[in-house]
Amino acid sequence: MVDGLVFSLLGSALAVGLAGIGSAVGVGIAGETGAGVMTEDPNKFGQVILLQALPGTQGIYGLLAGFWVLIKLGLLGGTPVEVNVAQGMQIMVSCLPIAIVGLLSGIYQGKTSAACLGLIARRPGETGRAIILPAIVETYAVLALLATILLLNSIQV
Amino acid sequence: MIDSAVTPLQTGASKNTEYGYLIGRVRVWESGLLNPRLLDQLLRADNADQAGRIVSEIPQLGEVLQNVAQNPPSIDQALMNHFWSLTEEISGHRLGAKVAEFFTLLFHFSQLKLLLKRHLAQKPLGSIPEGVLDWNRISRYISGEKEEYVPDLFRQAIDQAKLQYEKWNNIQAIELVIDRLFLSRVLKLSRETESSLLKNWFIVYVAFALLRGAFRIRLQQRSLDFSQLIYLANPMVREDDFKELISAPADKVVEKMADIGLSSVLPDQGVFQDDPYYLATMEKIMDNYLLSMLRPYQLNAFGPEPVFGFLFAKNIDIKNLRIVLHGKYFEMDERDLRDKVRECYYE
Repeated sequence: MVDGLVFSLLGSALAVGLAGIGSAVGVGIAGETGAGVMTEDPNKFGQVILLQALPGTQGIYGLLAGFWVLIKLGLLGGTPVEVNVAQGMQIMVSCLPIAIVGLLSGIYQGKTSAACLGLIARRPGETGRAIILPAIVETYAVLALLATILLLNSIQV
Repeated sequence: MIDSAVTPLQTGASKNTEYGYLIGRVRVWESGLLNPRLLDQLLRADNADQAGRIVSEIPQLGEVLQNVAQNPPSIDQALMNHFWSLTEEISGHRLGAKVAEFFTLLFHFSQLKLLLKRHLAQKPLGSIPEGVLDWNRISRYISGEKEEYVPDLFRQAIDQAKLQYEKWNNIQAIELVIDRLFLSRVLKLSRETESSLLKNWFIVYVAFALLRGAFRIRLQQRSLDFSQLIYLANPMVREDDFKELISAPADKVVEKMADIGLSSVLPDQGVFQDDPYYLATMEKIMDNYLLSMLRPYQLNAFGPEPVFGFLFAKNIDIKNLRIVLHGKYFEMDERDLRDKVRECYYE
């Protein structure tokens, strides 16, 4: 039971940690460019904050997956469920899609957001289109979260 | 900054994103760059007043020339202050200092030349924007107060320039000596940078500067010994080629330029002329070539290239504005001005 729980919690930690790192890096990259734009044009705060916040969602998805595991194990109230090693490893592997995709897509979305901040700095009228480009990167984080949830739900504990 | 420890321009994938802050600022500043439409409007302006009104509507530039007397010295001063303040803004950033170092050196060495010439002509110092260097201190050093602190690089430049001026009794000796020291620093930058674009750009810049020097020496029919004041070993123009460009007959110059691989900068390819207007046109082609090297990288989201490209584009814009505003002030013909202006960074 102990070993199975360790693997399960490791999966939960990876989902929260790696996706969180991806978001932190992405938000940081976009934030640096955003700060540069706002140094010269503070009126662009609205557009800058929107584009900077976009890579932050991967961290939220990771946290959601992490909580899903904890709920499944009954660690957030209720009776803790017994998991063997095989089940624990299944839970951990289920967490990998959002952990890995969250990490990478967060960074790449941050880079795309930073590039789009350059676009709105020169052409403020293009804000709508500028948001669409990093939002497309988001699609893959959403798909990864969906995969993680479906995988978790398919495991019988 | 000039004598500080070297931090190579960082262009590795992980470091490129660190230029994000500078690039964010540059993207806003780029709205103040000239574009072909604006340049065309300026060239078609009926007079200096109309040109001034067009400039006043350009973001940032409008403020720069606001309340500035519409005469060439005042315009030059305002534009120089504007460029220097932008360079200083970028230099204030940890990575920006290295990107802007070329322009800082360019500014400092041109001010030093001006200062030495004014000293020799016994003219007052005039107004120079304050920066890293204390120009009053340098001015006192030039006047002979050797105990004044002046950074080694500039001390060396002043001493060598004065020595060569006394030897040749020619004001151009000062230009050549200071240009050589500046170019040696540019070559050093080319060795330090990790950006392959900037590495090549610096090398081409040095080659062009040597060609300009060679053709000016040739035009003034100076000796080959005199040309040694500017020449320095570099990857593109060998010493023998450099000497031949100065001493060979005009028809051989084209062949030699083709050998070096730089014949594309010659106007009217196939015909070389020892003529100041020909040289001015060649300098314009060189500026356009240097700008064209940077243009493909202007939209890069990361890395030092867009920041460097912006500063060079601003430098070219200032040349263009000086050409147009001075031209309008002196009521020059639109076609003559059109022949002189450089291309714009954004087409």
